[in-house]
Amino acid sequence: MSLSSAKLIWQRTSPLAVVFFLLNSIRQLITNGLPALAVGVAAFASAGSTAKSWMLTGLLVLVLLSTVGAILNWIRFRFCVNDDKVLVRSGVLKREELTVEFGRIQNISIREPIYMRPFGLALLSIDTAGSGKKEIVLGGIRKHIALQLRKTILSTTKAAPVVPLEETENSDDKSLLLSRDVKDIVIYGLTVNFVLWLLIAVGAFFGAFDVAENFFTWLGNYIQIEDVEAAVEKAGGIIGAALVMILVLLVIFLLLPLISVAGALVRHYGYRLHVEGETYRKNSGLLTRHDESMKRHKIQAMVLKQNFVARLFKRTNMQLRIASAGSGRENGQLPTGPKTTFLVPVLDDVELTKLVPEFLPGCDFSHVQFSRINRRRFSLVIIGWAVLPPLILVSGVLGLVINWMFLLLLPVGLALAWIIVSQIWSKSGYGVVGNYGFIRHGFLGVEVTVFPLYKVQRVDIRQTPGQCRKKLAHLAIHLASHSLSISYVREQDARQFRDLALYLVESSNRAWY
Amino acid sequence: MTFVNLQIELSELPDADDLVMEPMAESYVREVKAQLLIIFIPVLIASVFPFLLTQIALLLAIPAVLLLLATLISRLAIKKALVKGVALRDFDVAYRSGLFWRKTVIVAFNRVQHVEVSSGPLQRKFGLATIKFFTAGGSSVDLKVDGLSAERAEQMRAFIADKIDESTRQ
Repeated sequence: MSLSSAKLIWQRTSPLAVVFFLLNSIRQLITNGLPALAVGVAAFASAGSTAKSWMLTGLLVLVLLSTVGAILNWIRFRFCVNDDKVLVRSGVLKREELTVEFGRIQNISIREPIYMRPFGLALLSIDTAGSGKKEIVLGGIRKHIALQLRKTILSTTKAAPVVPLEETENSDDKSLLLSRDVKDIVIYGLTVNFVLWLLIAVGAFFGAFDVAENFFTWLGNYIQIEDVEAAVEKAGGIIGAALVMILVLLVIFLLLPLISVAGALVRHYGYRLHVEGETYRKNSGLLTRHDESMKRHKIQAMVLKQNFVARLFKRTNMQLRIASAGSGRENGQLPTGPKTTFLVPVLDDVELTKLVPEFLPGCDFSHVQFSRINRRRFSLVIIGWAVLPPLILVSGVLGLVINWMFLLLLPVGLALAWIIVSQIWSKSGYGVVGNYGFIRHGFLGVEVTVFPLYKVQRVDIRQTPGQCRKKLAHLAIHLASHSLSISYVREQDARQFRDLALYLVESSNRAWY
Repeated sequence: MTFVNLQIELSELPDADDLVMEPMAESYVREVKAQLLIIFIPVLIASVFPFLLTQIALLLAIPAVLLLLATLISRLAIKKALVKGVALRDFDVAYRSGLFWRKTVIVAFNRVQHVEVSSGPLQRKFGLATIKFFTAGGSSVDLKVDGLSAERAEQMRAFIADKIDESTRQ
């Protein structure tokens, strides 16, 4: 079936899309109704046998209903591709018609879920810009049609040179920009959830003992605590118990990165990034192949992340941020989903210097000189207002009530706070090279955001009374993808940064999208 | 701060803080006062009731303290209303606000997605309107000015709509 014959004709997706709709509704049910689900499971476990059979019937009815719903959804779902827009009609109870012009489209991705692969079907999702429109997902269309559709949409996008896209998956090596092997992906898996497992590790040692205890009590009840106790007794009483505890913690610490690595492998296995003219395409995935495309001029910002683990490996993760659908006003939150970021994982320094100007033409990353924020004010305000009062309160109360030794908490806490604040200070910075702005933040790692100044949407400068006196300011830069801010900047710098950005926005008539 | 490899001279840039800000409409202060009265009068009346019911003189301290607080808050609110300023330049709109915590927001016309003018019942009584500018992107709050006279807000909306058209035509 060729695309030209599909024009203005309303089409259906493949019947297999029923599975897609069903999975979608299950996912929604789980994410929205998790507490209810937990209550349900608990009720089921404690219910008598008649109640159990009733519940099972209810569950069966629910499954049947969602299947019928999925089938109805599929019947109602029709789409049509015009010369310059995609139209979608959908909805069972509430009919909906969506029109998306090609020029508004930010990002197109093609996925091949494992249940569609044997049938040569794919899932095409279209992400739009701006005023809170939804994302369109065409689940279950023939793969070559999906590829062709993408080609049509990308080639008609505004002001872009028409570059023929290859039909086939295996592009030639000329267009290959980057590929990642298993080792790289494993490193990525280790770097990505670092904060999470650090928090868990810290949490297990401080404060979260209650939670851990409850958990182990529950676990103990579950696996017949008497047996374990007997085993522990045999192993040597309290020391044995401590050993078991340490063992369990160790297993958890080893397991978490392992899970993270496995997740990274599933999502990013066989990562390949191609460039064709202005269009970037990446392919990855172990079970579900993901095929995402993005145009260079859609990039709003580049985030270079290097956390503690990545630093050990001397690698940097690059995220390209795109304006997202439904972001901002409606949700009132920053768009941070995977759809709004285009990942280029674990780059070494050579790859980084090669790829930064590739995505941001003319960006001279190596020449950036970061200006520091005001150390004295930053440290004094953070420690004086946020750290000192609770520290005095806690150490004072504990010192007077329990033991004077607790008063030592004060200097120790202050020293710790000083080290942390100094670390954060040393990582904060801002700078401008050519037409690009740079903002750096960090604590153990660093995160540098690079953005074309002419893509700035709005600039705020804020000053507290103290900052006013010391000629310092808080600079907030709002991009279509996300917002950035930096505090305790010299007032003059903040103004110059803003005036330069505004000048570039206003003097160039280049579109930001 | 060091700017590297710039294509223009920084000193030639217009400094947005040199702007002459246009204050809010005269009736705006009256509207703020009306708002304050609407909030405080019922509260003050209610605060006398404990005394009336129990006849304990000490309870008169409640309305006294509240009155003091109300005057203080009202003073600050009125001052805050007077500090607000908005300025239209050739290519952007600037808004300054805040008595202690000062804030300047600037939005370029060619980044404005749409403009909205609205006025509530109290605002209509005082001939005022609120103008809101929406840009694309992740921030939930865009530029919002709520003390303009209805005509001025409408004028501004028309002016900016014109500018947006201009920039899209190019």
